[in-house]
Amino acid sequence: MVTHIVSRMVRDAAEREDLAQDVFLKVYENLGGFEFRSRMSTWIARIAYTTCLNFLDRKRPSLIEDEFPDRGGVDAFPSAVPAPDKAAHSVEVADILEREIAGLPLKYRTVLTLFHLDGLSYEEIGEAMNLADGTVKSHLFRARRELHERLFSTYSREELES
Amino acid sequence: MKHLTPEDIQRYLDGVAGRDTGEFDDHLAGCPGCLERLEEYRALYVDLGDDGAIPALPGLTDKVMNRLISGRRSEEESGLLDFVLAGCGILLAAVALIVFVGLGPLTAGPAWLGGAIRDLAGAGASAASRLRPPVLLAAAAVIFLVYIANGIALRRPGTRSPRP
Repeated sequence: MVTHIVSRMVRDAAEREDLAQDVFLKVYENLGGFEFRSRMSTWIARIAYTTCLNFLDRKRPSLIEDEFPDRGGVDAFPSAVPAPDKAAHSVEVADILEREIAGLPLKYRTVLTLFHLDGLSYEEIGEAMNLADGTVKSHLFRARRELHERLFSTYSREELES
Repeated sequence: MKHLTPEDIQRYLDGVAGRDTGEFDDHLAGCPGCLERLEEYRALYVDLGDDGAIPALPGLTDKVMNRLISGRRSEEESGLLDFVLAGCGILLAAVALIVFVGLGPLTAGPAWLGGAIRDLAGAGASAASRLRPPVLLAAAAVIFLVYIANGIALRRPGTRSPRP
């Protein structure tokens, strides 16, 4: 989960590694303060999210870039030529999707990660990101709609099925 | 029924709408366009649940453990330094007391103190009296600065307490 959140929120590989370590250290240091009022995964997600957010806040130019990401990404991607090896094809689809996700605003990327990769509910995502449930749903719907429009205007469903 | 919107389809796939009433199912059975869009979103959901393109962070556990161990070690060293600094502070305070107040009462103290101890106290008072206030102030400043520097070193990133 920590790797998912950090990787989706921060672009630089070295910074991701430092931040992931920071998150685990904070979890360790604050374990005594965990009051079992939420699932531990939600609590850890909150620490990971706020740690990354504070980091991006200190790096203001990058944050602005994250909030207004490059929209012209699809043209720069290689075309999805079906590979004979299913595993290779699966990796290629994952790469295409990952690059499309990287073009979404920061909060969209994070809600997608928490919902689809880490299995958090709307309420838990709201708790982790300090957002109302309605805002979480709205971010999720818009993120998926945008991804759907970008991907299926370029690729067929068969090409994108893992 | 009108065609399903992208939001309808997502709510359906999230399991929060359209499942109980069968309303969406009835429409989907007779609308190839909505069914195709549903299948596209279903494929998107499957791909979104795959973390294959997220780079792993090799050796993360070892690195976290190393930072934890080195953090604990520096805390122990810092504790020892605090102890030494406290000792220096007490000694400095005692010397300052001797310089400013003197040991007259002690060297002229009671008979039970004994000659050798009175001599020792007298020698100490004599040595302390040679120290001047600026020297004492400088020593106090050094102790204070080392204490502050140690405190700052302990607040390095990763070991400070967050407010999650």
